[in-house]
Amino acid sequence: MSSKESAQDKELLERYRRAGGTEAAEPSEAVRAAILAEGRRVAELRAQKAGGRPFDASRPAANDSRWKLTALGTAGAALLAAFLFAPRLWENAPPAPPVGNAVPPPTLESIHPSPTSSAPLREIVVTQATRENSKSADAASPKHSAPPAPRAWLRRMPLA
Amino acid sequence: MSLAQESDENLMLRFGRGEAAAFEDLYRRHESRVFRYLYRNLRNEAGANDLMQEVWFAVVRNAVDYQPTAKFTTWLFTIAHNRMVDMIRASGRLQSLDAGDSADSDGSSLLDSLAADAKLEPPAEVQSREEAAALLEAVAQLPPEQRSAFLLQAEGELSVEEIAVATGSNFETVKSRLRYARAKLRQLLWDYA
Repeated sequence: MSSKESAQDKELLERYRRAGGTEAAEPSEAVRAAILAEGRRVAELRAQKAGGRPFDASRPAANDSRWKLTALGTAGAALLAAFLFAPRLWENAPPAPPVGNAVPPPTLESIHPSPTSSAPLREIVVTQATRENSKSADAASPKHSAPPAPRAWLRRMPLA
Repeated sequence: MSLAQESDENLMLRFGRGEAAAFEDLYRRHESRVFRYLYRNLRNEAGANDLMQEVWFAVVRNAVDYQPTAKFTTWLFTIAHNRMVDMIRASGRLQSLDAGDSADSDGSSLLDSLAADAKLEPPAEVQSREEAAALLEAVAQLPPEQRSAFLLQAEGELSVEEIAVATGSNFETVKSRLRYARAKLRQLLWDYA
């Protein structure tokens, strides 16, 4: 097609379109209303199928499993909190009551401290000295009637 | 982006998802062109109205399956053309709109003589109302296949390839129909002038 023919074709189309503009060719109002009503009806059906609302691309899809991540996160946080607080609960718990031979009997060492263990020996010596002192004090001053109470563990201790 | 700025293809996809406003916008964009295509082919207002409704109902029904693999207007005018051919066949008013191209044989001698005529170029004076009426009448006088091809180009703004798809014809046949149609219209305009 030559450029002259092409220009003529364009001009012809332009003339046709201008001619078409002079003529009122449009569908009847009834047809237009029927077409638009059908369009609205079908659109409404599709919107209902899609959840009763117009399509919203910003919403997560119905099959999105994001809730699983949320649930997993919550469970993890609860587990961490339990892990952090559990040791404190164990520390504050009352001691378990003795059951059977659970408590070992006192050893000889604990009753008669060995000479190598100086602190209890010293205490015994001091205690005996104190008792002797108190005896001599009793003898010296008969007014001082109440001797000092022996320590609780000494009262229990069978001193030979 | 407002609906007015959306492409035809996007409006169709929106309508397929349930947006009534998208369909209304699309309809108003193409209402006149589709109606003129039908009316000028049928030359019958009642028939054009019936067909108009049928074409757009088909668009509505098929919107959910619509895939923008081609221009929306190619799809729309393919529906319009096929419905029109079906209606014409059903009425028995016309033997052929696409069965063979009788105009090719009828018009070849005319085209040759018209092409040889250097005075074919229509006068460039201001187009009067009478001239517009004469042009529209000339379009109405074209053989059906040529008229349909010319109107698909003029109203649907389809390319030769797209017209071939819409009418189910091959490229060369469509090109030939368009050449004959334009040559005849130029001659008629020249005669009028």
